[in-house]
Amino acid sequence: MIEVKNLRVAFPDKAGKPEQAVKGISFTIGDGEILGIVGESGSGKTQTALALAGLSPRKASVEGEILLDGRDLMPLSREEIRNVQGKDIAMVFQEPMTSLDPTMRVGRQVEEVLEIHTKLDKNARQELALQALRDVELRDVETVYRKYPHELSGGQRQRAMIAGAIIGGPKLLIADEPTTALDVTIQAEILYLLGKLNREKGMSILFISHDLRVIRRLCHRTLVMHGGHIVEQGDVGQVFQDPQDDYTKTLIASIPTRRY
Amino acid sequence: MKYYLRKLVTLIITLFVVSLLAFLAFQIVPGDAAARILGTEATPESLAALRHQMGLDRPMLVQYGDWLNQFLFGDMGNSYSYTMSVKALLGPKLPITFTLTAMAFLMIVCISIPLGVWQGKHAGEASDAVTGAVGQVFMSVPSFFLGIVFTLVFGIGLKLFTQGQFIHYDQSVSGFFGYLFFPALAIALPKSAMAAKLLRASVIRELQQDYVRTARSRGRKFSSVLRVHVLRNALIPVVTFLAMTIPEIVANSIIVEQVFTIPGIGRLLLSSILASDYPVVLAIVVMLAFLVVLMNFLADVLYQRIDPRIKVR
Amino acid sequence: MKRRNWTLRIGGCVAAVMVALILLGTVWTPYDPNALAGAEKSMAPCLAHLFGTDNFGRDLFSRVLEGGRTSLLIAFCTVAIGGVCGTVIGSLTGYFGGLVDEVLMRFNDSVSAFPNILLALVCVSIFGTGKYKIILVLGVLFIPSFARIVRGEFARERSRDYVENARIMGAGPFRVMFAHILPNVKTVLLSSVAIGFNNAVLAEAGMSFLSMGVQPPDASLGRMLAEAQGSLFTMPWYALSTGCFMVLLILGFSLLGQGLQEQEREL
Repeated sequence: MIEVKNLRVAFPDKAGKPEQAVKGISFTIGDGEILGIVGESGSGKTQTALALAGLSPRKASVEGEILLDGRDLMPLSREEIRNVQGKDIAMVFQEPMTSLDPTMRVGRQVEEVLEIHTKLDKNARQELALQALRDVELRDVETVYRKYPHELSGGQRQRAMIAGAIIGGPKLLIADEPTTALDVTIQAEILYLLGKLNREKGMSILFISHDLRVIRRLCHRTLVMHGGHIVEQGDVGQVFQDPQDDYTKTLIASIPTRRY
Repeated sequence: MKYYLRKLVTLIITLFVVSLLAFLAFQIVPGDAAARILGTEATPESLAALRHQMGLDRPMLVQYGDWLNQFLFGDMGNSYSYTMSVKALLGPKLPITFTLTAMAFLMIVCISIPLGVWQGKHAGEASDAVTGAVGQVFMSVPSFFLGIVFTLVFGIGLKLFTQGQFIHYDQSVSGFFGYLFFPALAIALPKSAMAAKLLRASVIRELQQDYVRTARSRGRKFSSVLRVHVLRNALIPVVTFLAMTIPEIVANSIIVEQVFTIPGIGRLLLSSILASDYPVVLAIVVMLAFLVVLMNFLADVLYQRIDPRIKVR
Repeated sequence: MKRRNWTLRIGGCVAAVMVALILLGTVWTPYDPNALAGAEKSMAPCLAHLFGTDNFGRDLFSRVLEGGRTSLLIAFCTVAIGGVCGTVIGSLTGYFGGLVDEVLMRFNDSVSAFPNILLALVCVSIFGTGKYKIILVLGVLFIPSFARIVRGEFARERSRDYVENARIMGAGPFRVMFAHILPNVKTVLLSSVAIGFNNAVLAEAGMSFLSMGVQPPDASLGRMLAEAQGSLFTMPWYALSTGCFMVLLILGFSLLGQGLQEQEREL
């Protein structure tokens, strides 16, 4: 279980004074839960995700508590954080095109977590990587394993990214707008895949999106962020049926409705 | 495979054209081999007879074909100034210039890659600014002046070598490499500064790429991200630059051999130009031209191999 | 927030000071560069003789200024020949494109692959040495690099809106090329001129150092360095002062060129 208490992320502005991007937010992600964070750009949702993954930009100052199964990650040294990254908390990014190293074969990137965190030999790693590629429902995994990222389609690349994230069996998968760069059918497939992985592997997912429809489809619970604050949180059904906050209401009202 | 085949065909055609141009260029020069041999005693008749005997009255292209054929089998004709074949003249000098070039190239690689990565990693810090400024100055120092400074500091000052006392590899292998160390460094430093600057910019560009964040999210150490992911990507433009510097190194070694009185190809080329010993000049020029063309080819192939995104057509 | 372009500033200052010194040298030098002074032979640098004197007692600072003048003159003529011819060829082929463009650029690429010094040596071995021959040889060798840059710029600018507009307004191709496009590629052109100077000084110095460039009685920095090398043991300041003067000259133009490139990128 992840507990975030009073998280603040601030950046120095031009004059050097700290400007807060995340203004003291608290929330929890239960085991096996999919929590969605929704908000427009600049709402602080991405900075929240990066803070959880230990990837805040160097010039940012991060305060508060991030408890992973009761252990606070904030006071940890860089080295101890690296032990958590990839193994306990993994991350998938928005751009599958650029998030993979173009000069390294896909297979090696999928098994990178094992290379860093385990002493498994090459063959054992390859076995697990192939299994992970199967888990993300890629076909012909031996071929994919040997390919370079540019030889895969956008959807395949995002699946490979997810395979590389789940291979270490993380407790939490952070997905930052993982479907935004993809077209609609592939988007649906990836959402389905994330749901399936959540059910089968029992890992928690923190899903970040600006798209309410995607959140409604996948998540159990959701937070609405605006200007660095959480303006509303609750079960997805409840938030969508009966929004309390004005900002949430306008967001929901702005979802394009289907016209038949 | 088809890609390489096509490249290879282009390579061979280029080699032909380059050798033809070089051959024709030296036909412009007044006074041919026959005139050279007969010297002042030449009468028009004897000249014509000797020309006929030597085949110099045949069409230019036929002469070229003949020359190329011999050249490819290692026969580069005879020197005008020395009573020996060009091949025998070049033979002992080639390994010297080759060693000098190879040493300089190795130095460039060994200096520029760590330096460029280090600068890119510390971009914007004071240490980067200082090394960058020093690099700028080195880029503007011609290698022959650097050679003179080295002679002054390490030769005359610190007595690490004696300028002008070249040690042949037959005498002492370690002495040979020792003597070539400073000339090679004089060639290498300006080029290293250029390569490092290029790599620095490339590393900075690559560090902003998303895949760096991905690798960090998997718990990779920053230094390890640099080594495993960034370096390979950042090297792509630098590899081409490095391959293309090899001809430049050879060109510079011509001058630096002069500074350190190294009996290599460069000094032979210069003395042959001064003595109008055209067969020697032509042989050296064609060999260097072949080197340039080959390096271009190598750069293409390397570029293609290091960057998997470039489609093999 | 606009970042100050230090490369451009420092480069501009260094280049301006060096050129000004050399220009000053054409009208006034501290001593007559060729005046022999038996009493002041081989003097180390001091206040009276900034760069010291040579074994004939000639003031080296004055001589370096004179040598710099030859080097700069050759560089100027080289860049003028290469720049003008290159710009004309590059703008024509870049603007019109077609088969001629294709063939010329191929040729260009092949020539550019060869180091300048090497080509210059070949030319000199065929045509001979001397100040004017070196200018001509280097000038011709510098055409491809200018042509390549200008061609690239023209090929890019050709499809811009303002060019289309000018064409619609009825401007002929030459008016479009030289009245409309040329002013827009000014910075790029200036930076290649600066870098051209840098390369020309280097190439001339290399050639003259090998005694394949200017011949006595002309003195250029490269030739003086070759001479200075002979007396390195007795008069190290001769080589050092000549060399450093040359390095500063090259450095100035090199920084100036890079600074202009940076400026162009920021625009």
